[in-house]
Amino acid sequence: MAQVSPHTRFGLGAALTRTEDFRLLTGQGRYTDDNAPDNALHGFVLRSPYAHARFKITDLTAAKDAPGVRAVLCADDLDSMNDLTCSTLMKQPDGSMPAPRDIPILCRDSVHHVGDAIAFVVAESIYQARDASELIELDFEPLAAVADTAQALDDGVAPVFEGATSNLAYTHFEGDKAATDAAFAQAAKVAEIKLVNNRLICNYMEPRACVVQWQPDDDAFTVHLASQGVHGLRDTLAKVTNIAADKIRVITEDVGGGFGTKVFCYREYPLCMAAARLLGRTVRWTSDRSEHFLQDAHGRDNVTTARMAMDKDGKFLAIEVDLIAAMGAYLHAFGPFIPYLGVSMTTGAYDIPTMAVTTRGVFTNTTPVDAYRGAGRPEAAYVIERLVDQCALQHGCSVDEIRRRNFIQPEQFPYTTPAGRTYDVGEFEQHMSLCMERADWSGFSQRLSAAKRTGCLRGIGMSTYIEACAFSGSEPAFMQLQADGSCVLKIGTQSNGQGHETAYAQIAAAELGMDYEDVHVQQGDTATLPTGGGTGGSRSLPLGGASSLRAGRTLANNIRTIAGRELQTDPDNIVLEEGSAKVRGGNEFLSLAEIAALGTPAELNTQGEFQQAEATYPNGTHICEVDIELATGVTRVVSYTIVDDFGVTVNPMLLQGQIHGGVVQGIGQCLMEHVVYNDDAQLLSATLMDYALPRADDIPHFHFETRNVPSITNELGIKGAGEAGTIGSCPAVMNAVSDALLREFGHGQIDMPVTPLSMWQKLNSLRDRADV
Amino acid sequence: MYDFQYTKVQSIDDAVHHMQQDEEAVLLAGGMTLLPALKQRLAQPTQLLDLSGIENFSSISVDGDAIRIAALTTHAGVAGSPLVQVHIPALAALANSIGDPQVRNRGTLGGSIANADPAADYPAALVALDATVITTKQTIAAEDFFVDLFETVLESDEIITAVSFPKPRRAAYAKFANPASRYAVVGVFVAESDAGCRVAVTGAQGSVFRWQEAEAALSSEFDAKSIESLTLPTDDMNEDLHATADYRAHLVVVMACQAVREITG
Ligand SMILES: Cc1cc2nc3c(=O)[nH]c(=O)nc-3n(C[C@H](O)[C@H](O)[C@H](O)COP(=O)(O)OP(=O)(O)OC[C@H]3O[C@@H](n4cnc5c(N)ncnc54)[C@H](O)[C@@H]3O)c2cc1C
Repeated sequence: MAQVSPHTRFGLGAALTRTEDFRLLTGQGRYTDDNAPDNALHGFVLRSPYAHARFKITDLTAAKDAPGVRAVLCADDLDSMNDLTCSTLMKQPDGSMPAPRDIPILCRDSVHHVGDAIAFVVAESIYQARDASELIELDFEPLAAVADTAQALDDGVAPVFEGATSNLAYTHFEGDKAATDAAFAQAAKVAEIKLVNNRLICNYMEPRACVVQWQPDDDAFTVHLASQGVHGLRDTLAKVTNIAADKIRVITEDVGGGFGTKVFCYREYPLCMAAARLLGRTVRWTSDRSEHFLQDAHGRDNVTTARMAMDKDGKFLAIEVDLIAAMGAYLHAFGPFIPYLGVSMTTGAYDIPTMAVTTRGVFTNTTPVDAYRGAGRPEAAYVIERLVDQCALQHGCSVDEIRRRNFIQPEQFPYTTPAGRTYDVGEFEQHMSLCMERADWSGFSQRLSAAKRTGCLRGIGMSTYIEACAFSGSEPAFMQLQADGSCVLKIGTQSNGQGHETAYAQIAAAELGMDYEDVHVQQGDTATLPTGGGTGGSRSLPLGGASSLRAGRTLANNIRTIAGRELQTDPDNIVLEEGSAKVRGGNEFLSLAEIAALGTPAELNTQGEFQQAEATYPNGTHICEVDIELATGVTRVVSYTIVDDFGVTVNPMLLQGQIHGGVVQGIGQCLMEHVVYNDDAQLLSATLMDYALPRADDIPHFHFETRNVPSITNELGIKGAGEAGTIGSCPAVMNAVSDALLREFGHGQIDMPVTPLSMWQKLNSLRDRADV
Repeated sequence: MYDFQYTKVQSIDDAVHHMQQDEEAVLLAGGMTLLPALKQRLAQPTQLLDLSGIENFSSISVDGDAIRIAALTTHAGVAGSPLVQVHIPALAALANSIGDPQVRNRGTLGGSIANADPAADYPAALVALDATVITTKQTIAAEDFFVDLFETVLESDEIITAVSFPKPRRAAYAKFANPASRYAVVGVFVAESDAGCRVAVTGAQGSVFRWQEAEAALSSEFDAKSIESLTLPTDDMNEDLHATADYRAHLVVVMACQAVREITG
């Protein structure tokens, strides 16, 4: 394990308040839309009202002549542009690559989901643009559509793409079919579970937006947009627009939530670029919430059957998974990669010798699906953790006992899974036992009886999840000592509200013996930073944190060298504290501003880069208790306990925020959030009046603590924590719901989201069953 | 939002005058229903007549055996009114259950009942309490005021000025809130007065209705037990993402029992 800084006052582990909060909470945040000058033109995307149709634009005259309109762009006007492509096509079992289904910037003659883009109207005001969009004359020829993932491959279902023989986007296989079949053949028992992982809409507070300026002198663009990393977006924009990357400066300032969904390049960005160049004016576009529901990539949406082979002692022998993953109407940027990432975590925290996992990606006439907080890992944890509970049931032991028997044991590390991942460390049984103690697992029966007296069923459930973070790679950090003695730290990740400004600063400041508020973290500008990997997969702190430490440490060494030179003493004799360089044991010192005046540029500018070879593997136990009100079917989470292993905690306060937020999203998925399309693939849950997000009063108090086992893959021992909350929560909540039903009726399977209606219906059918 | 003209009217007469001049003009009260409809381009009025400048249009007063609430009184105003809290606490509680603080601080009693959303809360209170709606043209019993889904007896140039709520002996409102919008999936207002017991249901059908079978049962014995095994026909029940017809019919019974239990303690 790496050295943890001795300067814990500001370093790793300090519960420092967020430096960005004063700015953000006093209305001084600068979000993308804040960058638009008053005279910017407004773009509006005319979107398809049909889920599937052929169309022709018959007349644009009225729209073009409408007041304030400066341009109306159609597919024909974008000949120099390329489609948005999927960068993660998966090899099929026969070795072939699947056909791409790229997203046209504007549809030419057919639309494939409600909200598919048809035309871009640019006007002096957004109202004029919208008014004019209604004057575009179109002929639609509606075609049959399909929205349901489970039915997409059925015979006779309309193809999403005319002329296609089926809605199969691709097939992918991971594992060892022969070994798995052999294990099932000799299994004493087999547990099976069928699950739907419901489709979600990622509702960040700040909808996407962009503001594009074009400089005629050098045919260059400045693109402000809400992203999770400017460099990746710049490169995609260059590919799509056929404009050299060095002619596109992408800037992201404050971002109000991203959750993976803001990683991607969406149509409106190249559209604004085209319009800005055509008109020589700044062009802005801002999504509204309704548009957001139709255009921004959706999350989850899997239909899974999973089976576990066990021996007579309940020891797992093999797992087999059949996964249907919705892709939506096109293959989105990371679309096929998301289920794959989940598949790579199929076996979870358990020692399962072999696996066979078949994924079928399917097209439906729905908004494309891509990364949403956890990106495949919540889906995978959901499958294995629900299946393990089913195994306990089948085998006739408790849910903790089946886990104990099958956990990878501490002495087995490093442990390579059948999917090829190598876990470095982990103490699964220990955090499970601790969490059970904290949750008073053994006292449950009393709470159950108490709940019964109030007309409720009560259930308790756990998940002992593991996930993969950070992944191989690096995120270099660049530091500079400024003339005033403060520091700038530049890094190519992108805070979306997580608190990067605080976290990186506190790591680097500890090395420099200075106040963390004097380390100014800068992100989000391709002009000031040459490269960057962006934020996603909980990589910012494991990779960027380690690089920040290295950059800070090198700068600290340089400062000691400069001070030693000036004060004519050995650099080892210099200590950095309270923002100055002091001679150990003496009175002489130099302020950091004085150091900045004395150092050479090479000494004052440092770079740190930590290269990581493998992913890190955060893990933990979540325990949830639910009440189900018999009269109404309302399910409430009444108690929630978390013991996580994040390796090393950077800032307990930031960490707690990440976990709380993630668990709330998980509870939301379990009990409330649900994207519903009707049979014509029209979006029914189209606004927040019908799409239910969890609110504070839907959520109980959380008990959260860490039981950290430092990673030996990561320099600082950090494992990553940005997604863990969503990953651990769904199976814990749903195992609790299932437990409540099992105790009462002997049957417990119900899918997410457990709405009052779906639970009431379930209770009725279980009662009917009991009557028979 | 389409283009429209904005006029801040000075008096009720002034508003009526504008409405007679311009058939496409609409009144703007709290805007909590009207403005979202405009933003989504579901309505295209020529003119908005903003009522907020009219004096004394949001007062609450005692009027004999009734509490009179002027039409522009906000939900928060009703919820926070000491008069309402003392004389009809169930009405104050109902107002406090509407939407969220923003909606309660803008939305108004007049706007809510003029809109006659099938999932709105107030209609249940008006009908159960046998309230009277006072408009620029008539004084009408609440039961006759609500006609159907988003439909009242109001004519195009008619303005609600106040609602008069007789004080009940005891009353309670139980609401099963839509988990997303927090409108009533089903809301049941139970009120008992010298004239008898009234049970009004909102959210379940196109418009608020009295559940007479429950009224009769409660009149003979005011106890949740008297109604808990009653059932309602599902034919006219609303259906949406959040509740099927049979679930709604079931929830009416559950909510009615809950309201009665709140009264009987
Ligand atoms: C997020 C959200 C949640 C909500 N939740 C609930 C809820 O839980 N329960 C509930 O009952 N409601 C709920 N509402 C609706 C809310 O109560 C509205 O305020 C109400 O329906 C309309 O009142 P308003 O004053 O805003 O009217 P406006 O929106 O201004 O007007 C609505 C209509 O009434 C007309 N009108 C207004 N005043 C008069 C008058 N004096 N005479 C004649 N016509 C008039 C207008 O012309 C317009 O047609 C919610 C609204 C929102 C946005």
